[in-house]
Amino acid sequence: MNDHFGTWMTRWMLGGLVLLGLSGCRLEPTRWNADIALPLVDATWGWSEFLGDTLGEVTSGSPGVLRFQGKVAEVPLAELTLLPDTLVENVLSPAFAGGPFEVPPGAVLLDEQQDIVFQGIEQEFSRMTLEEGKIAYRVRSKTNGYVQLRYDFPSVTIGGVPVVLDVVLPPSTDGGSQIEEGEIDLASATIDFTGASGTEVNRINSNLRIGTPADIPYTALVYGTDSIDVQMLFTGLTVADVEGYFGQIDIDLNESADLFDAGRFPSGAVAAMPTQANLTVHNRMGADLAFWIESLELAGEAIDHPAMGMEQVLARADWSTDPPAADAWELDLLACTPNLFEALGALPADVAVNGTLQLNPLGDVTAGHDYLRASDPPYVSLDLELPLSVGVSGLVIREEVTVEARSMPGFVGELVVRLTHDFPVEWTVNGRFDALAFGPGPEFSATMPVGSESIELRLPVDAERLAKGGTLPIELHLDTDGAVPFSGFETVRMQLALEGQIQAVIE
Amino acid sequence: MKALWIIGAWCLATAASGQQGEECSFHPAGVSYAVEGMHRSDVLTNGFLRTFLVGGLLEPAEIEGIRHRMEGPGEGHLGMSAGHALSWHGVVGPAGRVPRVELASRGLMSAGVTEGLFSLVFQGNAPDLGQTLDLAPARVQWLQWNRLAFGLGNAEGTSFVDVGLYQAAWGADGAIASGAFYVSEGVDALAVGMEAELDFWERAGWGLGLDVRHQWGEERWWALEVKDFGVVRYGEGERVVADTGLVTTGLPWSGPGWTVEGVQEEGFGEDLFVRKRVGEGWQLLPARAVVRAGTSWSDGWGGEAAVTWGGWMPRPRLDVRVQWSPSTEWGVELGAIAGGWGLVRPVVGLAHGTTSGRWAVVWDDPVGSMSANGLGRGASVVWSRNL
Repeated sequence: MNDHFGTWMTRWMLGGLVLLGLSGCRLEPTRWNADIALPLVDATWGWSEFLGDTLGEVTSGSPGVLRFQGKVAEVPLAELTLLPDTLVENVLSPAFAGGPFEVPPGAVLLDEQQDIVFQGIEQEFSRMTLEEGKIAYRVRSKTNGYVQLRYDFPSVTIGGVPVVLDVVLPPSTDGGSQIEEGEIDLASATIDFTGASGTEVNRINSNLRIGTPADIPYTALVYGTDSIDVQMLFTGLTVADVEGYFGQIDIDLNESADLFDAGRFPSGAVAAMPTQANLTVHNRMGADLAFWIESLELAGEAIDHPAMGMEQVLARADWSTDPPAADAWELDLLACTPNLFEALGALPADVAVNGTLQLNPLGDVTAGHDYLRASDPPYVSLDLELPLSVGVSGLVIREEVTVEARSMPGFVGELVVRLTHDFPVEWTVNGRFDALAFGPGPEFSATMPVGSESIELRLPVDAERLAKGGTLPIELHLDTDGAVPFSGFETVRMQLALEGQIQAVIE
Repeated sequence: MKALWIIGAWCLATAASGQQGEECSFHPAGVSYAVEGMHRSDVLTNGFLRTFLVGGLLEPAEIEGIRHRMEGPGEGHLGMSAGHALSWHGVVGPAGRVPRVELASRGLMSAGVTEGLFSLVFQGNAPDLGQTLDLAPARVQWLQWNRLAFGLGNAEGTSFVDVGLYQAAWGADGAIASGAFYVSEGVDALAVGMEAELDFWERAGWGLGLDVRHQWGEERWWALEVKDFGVVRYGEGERVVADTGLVTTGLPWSGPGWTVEGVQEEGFGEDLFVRKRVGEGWQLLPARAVVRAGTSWSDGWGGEAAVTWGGWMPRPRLDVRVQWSPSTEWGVELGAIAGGWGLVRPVVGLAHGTTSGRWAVVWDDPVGSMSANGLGRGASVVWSRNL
């Protein structure tokens, strides 16, 4: 009643207010025009955006010097760092038919030491520490009585404590099963793979004991059809470090990588010559390493080097010192024929390397004492020093920025394109606004002289063209008169802004 | 019975003109009904408000004029109210007290915005490139309530205490606590930030409030009035909170928050404000305090001045009037009002007493009310009669 009264009064009051204010009702939408000017996009392209963001460090100077010293690739060793899943299953069934036979509390039905053999491993591991992994277990009992299961893994320790699975299952009734499932986390676990004897490989010592719990006063009735099933799945095992004999693993080095996207760099040539360019292969693994580089190709063009096709052997690292003493092999890239960097100046689309890598080319020379820390695999580093005195001929760089869709009813105005740069050479730029709903718009072209203020271009746009957004593809053209010193910090900046008038409407 | 009407009307008329004589000692019971409504602003014209509410194109010149008026104080205000009240008072009791009952309803809206917020909404940001538009403080309050009050007063009705039971049927309170919008002169940098909160409730709330008036003196008198002094316990409602900020020279391509990719993703705007249900709470009524003084001169002339604080008005309101009763049936008044939501404006009033009752009409800013360039309209009508 009160709410009804309140509602009635509210309507009365609001009606009065509206009548007072309007002296009538809404006859048409309320509209007004507002002038807006909003920045939309700010995009900057420098050397790292043009050529990739892993170029390294640029030191100031004229010209600046691009330096790169660091890892460029690692040798994948999945055979040593990822273990296949291993399933261990034990099924205990009475050796009789009929029944029932009474089994008192505290009786032992099975007490057995087992060496669990890890399957699918070609190496001979003696010890490892896991980065992560787990044991997924499933215990099923079809016995009319309490069942206690204790699985000891003295070879698997976490913080020095052996891993143990201890499960008590209640009686199963009416022919059904009692099941318990779970997981044991093995992250940072240490595994001794030498088995119960201490001399084996790829096997861990375990002890399985099945019986009736002594502390539960219940006499089990066992039939010949009863069973107890234990499944242990070692899964997701990744290695932190590993010892043993790794075998003579052959690894193909058939690698390729994209260099200059032809869609982004459709034409042009760049001339720049490094003063130093060394590629080094490092072996921090406690196992010998041999490799052959058969070929190196840039966009299908063969690059030759005196070391190609020859076997290179890197001795095992000595982990008895800190840091470990690693062997390395160095390749002078400036000794390539034809010159590698002249070939790179033609902006090749890709690079391809073919070769082979082999572990332990001399066999098991340490009697099973290879060692690998997964975080320190063999790797390739580059030591490059490139003065940025660069000649450019007919270089075209394509970029594209997106103008997101926006609802601006009644908008009439301009898309303002503002371009600035601080390169010591003149750029020319052309582009257009491609509205998704209307297709390519009229093209614009401009020259950006050296040291100029920003270049501003205005493209007419309206609400319909903004409603679905679009793209602004541009082409940047660069030519130099011979080699020009660059600082390495030059940038081209493009800003987009929207200026015009919108009509706000209240229906 | 007719004689009683004549006596009552005459008493009322002479009381209004300050000529109440000692011989009129009979104070009959009476009833009155009042209706009032107004909208008042210090910047918004009647034409702007009408177009905004009825529809049509808001002309740039009119918007520029409003903004020009906001330049000095940096803000503008708008108040709207409407209400009606039915009152009854009885005869003088044994202790000289008169019982009073009033049933009233009233709605009140008060809004205040900064010049920056107004210009950003109605003119856009382009005219103010390179300048920071302050979006705060801005506030909108709206309350509609019904009131049933019982009280006691003196025989003349000049002093009384009324205790009212309030039903707040609907209300809202929103504010921008801090906020700014900036775009550089070269349209290459944008900075915006805002903290805002809006509460509104749908379920009726209940509360108590007081109306008190006490007058000292008769021919030269002054009075202290307090109206709608109390609180209501409002019902459940909803709260919308916005707390966002952005500084950019254009949206970056990707990453968390405001990015070209992010704003196109579904649900992006949900991060900019939080909408949640809120439980019951207390709300102060828009209480007003009035200090009023008056005097009577000879030949039916009188004067009155009042200062009012509160009632959600952004500034105190000063009200000065001169009254003249050329006859026992007619009275007129002329005055000026300054402050409140509006600027200085005239006010006129007319009263007429007959044997069937007395009418009093007050018209706030009669000239401005008729003009599209006026800054508000307001009127009240009171009808009363003795029983």
